[in-house]
Amino acid sequence: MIKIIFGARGRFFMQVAGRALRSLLVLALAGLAGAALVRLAPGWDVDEAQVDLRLSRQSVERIGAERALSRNPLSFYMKYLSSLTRGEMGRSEVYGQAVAQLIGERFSVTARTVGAGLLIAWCAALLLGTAVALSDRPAVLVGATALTASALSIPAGLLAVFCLLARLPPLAAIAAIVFPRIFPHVYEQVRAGRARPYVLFGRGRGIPPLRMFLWYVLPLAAGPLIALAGVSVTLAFSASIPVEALADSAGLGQLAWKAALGRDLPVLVTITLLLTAITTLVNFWSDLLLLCLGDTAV
Amino acid sequence: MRAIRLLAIVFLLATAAISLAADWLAPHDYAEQFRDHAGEPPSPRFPAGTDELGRDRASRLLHACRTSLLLALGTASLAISLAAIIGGVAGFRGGWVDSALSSLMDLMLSLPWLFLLLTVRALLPLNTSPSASISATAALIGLAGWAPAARVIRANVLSVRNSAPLLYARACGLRDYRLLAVHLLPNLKPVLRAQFWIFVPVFLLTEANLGLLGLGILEPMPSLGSMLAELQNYDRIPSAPWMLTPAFLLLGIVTSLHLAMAEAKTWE
Amino acid sequence: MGIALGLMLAAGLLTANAAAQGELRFCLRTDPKTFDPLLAAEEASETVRYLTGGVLIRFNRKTQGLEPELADSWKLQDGGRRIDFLLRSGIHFSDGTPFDAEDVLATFRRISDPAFASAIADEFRSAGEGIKFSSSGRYGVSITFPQPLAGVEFLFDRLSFSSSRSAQKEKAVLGPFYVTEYKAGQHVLLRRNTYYWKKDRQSARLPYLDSIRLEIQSNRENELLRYRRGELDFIDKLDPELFERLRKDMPTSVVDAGPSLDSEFLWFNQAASAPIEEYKRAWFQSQRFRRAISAAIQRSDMVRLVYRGYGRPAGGPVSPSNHVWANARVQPHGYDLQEARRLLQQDGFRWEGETLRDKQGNAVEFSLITNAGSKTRSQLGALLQQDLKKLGIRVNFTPLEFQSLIERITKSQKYEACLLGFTNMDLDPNGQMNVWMSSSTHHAWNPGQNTPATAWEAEIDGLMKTQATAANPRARKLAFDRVQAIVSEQAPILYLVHPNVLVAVSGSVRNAAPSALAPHLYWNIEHLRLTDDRRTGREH
Repeated sequence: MIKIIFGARGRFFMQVAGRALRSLLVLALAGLAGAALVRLAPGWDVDEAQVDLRLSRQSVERIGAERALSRNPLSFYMKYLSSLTRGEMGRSEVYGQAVAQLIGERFSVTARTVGAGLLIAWCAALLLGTAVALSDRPAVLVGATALTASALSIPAGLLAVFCLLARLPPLAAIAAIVFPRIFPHVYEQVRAGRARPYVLFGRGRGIPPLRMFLWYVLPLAAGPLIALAGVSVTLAFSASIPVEALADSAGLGQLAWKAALGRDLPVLVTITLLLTAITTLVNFWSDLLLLCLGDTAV
Repeated sequence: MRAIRLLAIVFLLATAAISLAADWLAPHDYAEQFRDHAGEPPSPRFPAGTDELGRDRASRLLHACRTSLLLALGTASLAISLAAIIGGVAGFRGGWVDSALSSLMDLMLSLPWLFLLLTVRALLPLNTSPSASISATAALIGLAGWAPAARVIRANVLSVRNSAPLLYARACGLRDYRLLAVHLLPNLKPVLRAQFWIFVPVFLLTEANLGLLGLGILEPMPSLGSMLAELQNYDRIPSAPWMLTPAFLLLGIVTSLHLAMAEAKTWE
Repeated sequence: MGIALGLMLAAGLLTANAAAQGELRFCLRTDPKTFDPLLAAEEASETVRYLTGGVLIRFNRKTQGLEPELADSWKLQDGGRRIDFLLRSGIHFSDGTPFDAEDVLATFRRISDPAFASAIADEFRSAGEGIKFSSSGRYGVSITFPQPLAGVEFLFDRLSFSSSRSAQKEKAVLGPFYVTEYKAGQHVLLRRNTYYWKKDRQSARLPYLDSIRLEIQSNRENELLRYRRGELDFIDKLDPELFERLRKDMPTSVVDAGPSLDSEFLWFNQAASAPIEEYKRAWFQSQRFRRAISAAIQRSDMVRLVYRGYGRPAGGPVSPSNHVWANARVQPHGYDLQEARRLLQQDGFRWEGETLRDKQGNAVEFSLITNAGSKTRSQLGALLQQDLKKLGIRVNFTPLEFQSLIERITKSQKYEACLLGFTNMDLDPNGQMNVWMSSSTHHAWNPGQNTPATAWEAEIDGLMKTQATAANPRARKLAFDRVQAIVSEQAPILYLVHPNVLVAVSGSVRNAAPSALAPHLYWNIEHLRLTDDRRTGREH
């Protein structure tokens, strides 16, 4: 019916609206799941101060009771969402500061690190992946494979430490983490595209390689690579947790790690919501692009 | 260049065989502490030197290799199977099934899984054997880690599903299962392989990262992760370069995996 | 015009002089949880409190004597139940508001509120609720406790006062510095308090330093790297391994200040309510079992391998560096495997092959938890595993992240043995009251008992009460010596090592005198200054 009333454009907009609704649902569920995760974690209702030997039994019990106030994750989440509509996100239990202030201070740090790291990683992967796939020289492939394998063989935490040692910013570690994870895809997509029968046929007919690449190979690779772009954003944000924690960079990753260790419910729920919002937004845009490129389902 | 691929396969097989035979090949018990020989350089008695507690590095490396390889391969198999099923079904079925599964993927990608790992690790019984702890860790990482691959697989399925040969095959009346088996799965092989290559080192490193945070495989059982954690003391590397042995071994394994599992025609 | 120019020049010179004082930099391992001096408990908040807070009496970390600070004088009265202070006049908070008796009373109003959960308040309330306080004139203060509180003067070294009148509340301070900026996860910036009252021998106003930047840095390797680059002036509490590395490269900048007051130890869970198997509880409650375990531990190997020789085997709760309170007769349990076997046999244990079994035939195996991320504890755990393997005991060593660990040891009691450390800031045994009183929640092996479970715990309870209230120092010493002897004999806690205080001090810091007592490096912060070349280097 929708198709009859609105036509192809109408269907497109309905699909986009459906995708947007789905993103909102995911966002709401992620926040709730984050709150439930904290609630399930052992030690969610104890405070580090409770092992202070100078504290009396009464004080220890009082501190414990204060921590246990947000016992029900659902009721906490409902209250949290209602205060969120007023622009409040509660107070951090670890830092004793307003969560909005903490996030505000740190978001720009992480956004810069992750953004620059992703840009470097994608440029390097696209250039190198395409060059290796087009070169047809096994030695080049072996070299590139060894390079990506080397980058994959170093734990994110150690990469962060090495970057620090070399006086490189944490974005270098993010780039080094993301690059080897996207390079094989770029290479595989370009190589597979070049091996398709009609491409081989075109090459046999003498169509210039650049034209073949731009018109026939790249469009086929675009879909999976756009999907990968969405994933790489999430990957970079996830990588920022150990990188920032070990490099002592005051971004969201470090905040998330300390909040996780301290069972800081308001901070963890806010960060979960923020990361989900970024993930769903990026995936939404990549799906939209896929849709525009001709893949129907979003 | 086939020789290189062959070399990589031989290296992997040799590493797997040697590490599986660690119980017989290791010169010492991996947990035994020779406290009067702590921090020694390589010698005939200790071929790769000893660690700070006097444990034989060579014996620990053999056992670490076995532990980490089994963990990574098991975890990668679990994760890739889940990703293939969920991503494949989402892309192939479309409609509300796709919407629901894609939402699940988004949710899985968004949640702080490191926190879940911490939580489940803390909930495990304390008197578990190291092997039970390894299995639990592997299952957990696998169950949490399939989503990125599922999204890529879904995109590939979408791409192939709407390609001309598939549309033609569908128009010819081919049934779904035949479409899947004959046309879709063979086209997915490159992406599944790429994801698997990516997963193995990723999960090797997930264990290593947990080791760096002190939450890896329990002492005294060694793993590549716990041995790599020693590299945090990078100052010591110039005076004790044999500390790099686990890093080089991991590098060798990961590179060989990439080379060995590359499609044969790549080399032609 | 001439006067204006002269004033500008003078102002310029003054500014240049102030800038030339320089900025001291060192690291906090975590963010401070609070800037309220009465709530400061963990290390970071305590550091800020020490650097910014003014106290009535200062405990000199070098001479180990008490010195008047904001109090001109004090006197203990009524057998230690009352303490009278005469405050210094003309003292001002960092915002210029005057300090007098009303500020002291306001602080005690908060402390005496039973609903106020604070470590320092609990220490003052340990003699019972109902602290009375009054003023006589503008500078006379009298504090009366329900019972005598032995060593009460030492508590005033940790009690910093806030202004009762200032709009800045606890931000107005009496110490040498005040907080000007805090960026969570990055740094805390302290500026020189121009109202600070102390002067040096040449009557120059203290402190010498213009500011202190406390960088928040949890990664020890990064801290070391930055120290080597000259970006930091201090490193407090170096790990033995990092200390060794630094000693090789920069031998003049590291200091081993000797055994700390801290200790590393393990204990078994003996709580009746703990959800562990009954037969295991029976092992843990057996003195012979605990002593056998203690005799099987090679403490000297722990010191040699884990602490690289920078520590001492521990025999009890009091470090040998605490000359006043350590019981010289209490020595670490020696390594004696034969003795360990004998004690176990006496208790009905037997060996089946290489496995130790109890009377019922249960294999002896237990889990040992500790906090994840501590390399030294991870190594101690591995050494314990091998030591106890020689007795046929299997130890499942499980590091847990801190929050889970706290939950298990303070709440659910779901653990069998725990390896932890004790950071002792107090020389006086009153600081250990909560460890030894059987009713306390910090009585690690069996917390919160309504009545003491054993005769020796009842005896310890009595002795701790005696030492806390006795006015006679000798009676206090005798009582606490006996407590140490009982602990050594019964071994409810197996003490392993007293680590040394290892620090690094840059050559560009003058007047630094590292102490074994906390705060090791900046206890005399008002007297620290930077060398000229360092200051000019910084400005460039």
